[in-house]
Amino acid sequence: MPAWTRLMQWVMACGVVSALSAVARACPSCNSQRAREVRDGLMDDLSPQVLAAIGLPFVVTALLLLVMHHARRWRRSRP
Amino acid sequence: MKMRHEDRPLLSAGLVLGVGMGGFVDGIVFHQIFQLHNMLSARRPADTLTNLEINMVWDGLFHLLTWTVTLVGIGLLFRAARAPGVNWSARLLTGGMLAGWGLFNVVEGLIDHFLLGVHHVVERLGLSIWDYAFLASGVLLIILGLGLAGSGKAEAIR
Repeated sequence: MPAWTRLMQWVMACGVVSALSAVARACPSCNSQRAREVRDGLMDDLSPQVLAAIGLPFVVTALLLLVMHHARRWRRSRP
Repeated sequence: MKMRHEDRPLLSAGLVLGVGMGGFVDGIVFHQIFQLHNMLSARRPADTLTNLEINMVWDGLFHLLTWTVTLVGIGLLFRAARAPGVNWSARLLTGGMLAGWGLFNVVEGLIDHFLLGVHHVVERLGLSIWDYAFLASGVLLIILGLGLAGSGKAEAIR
């Protein structure tokens, strides 16, 4: 696995775990068996594939729109 | 389709708003109202409460991104409102939104349904005719949107 995906996974994992731990500390019922299962499941799911599934459609769409925008400007600037 | 300078601000806002609102249509209609699939339902079938809760978190992250894109679209619309000489055509805005929605459907369908296979339109059927229909609906929306936006170019500048 490339270093950047490992780093991204680590940053996301820290964010998700700290947010969920904060919720768990604030409310005792969030520390139930199921809540722990959900947290474990989220950690299991955290992979480049899942992050790509959520983020990539937006990134690719934005890139396509930017390419179309700049292609028009490039065509206009041609002599 | 040739765009004039005065058409561009509203068309850009419409395209970005369409991407955001198209994402909301997917999330609200397919994920929540009809419950045909969730973000990771091919990996985690929604057959236990735990899996449903996990899918709900990933659906929430998807909605967070669609919300952010919609906010950017509102920003572009605000910028268009302040720019001089913009063609305020309802067809241009609606056409842009339809094309943006269609573009998002095509990209999301190709990546999530076909390439990564994290979910499908009707999860209990797996990869089915509905996934192809979803892609086709995206192409149709792009064609309709661009056609409508093209006819909006001719409208009078306010």
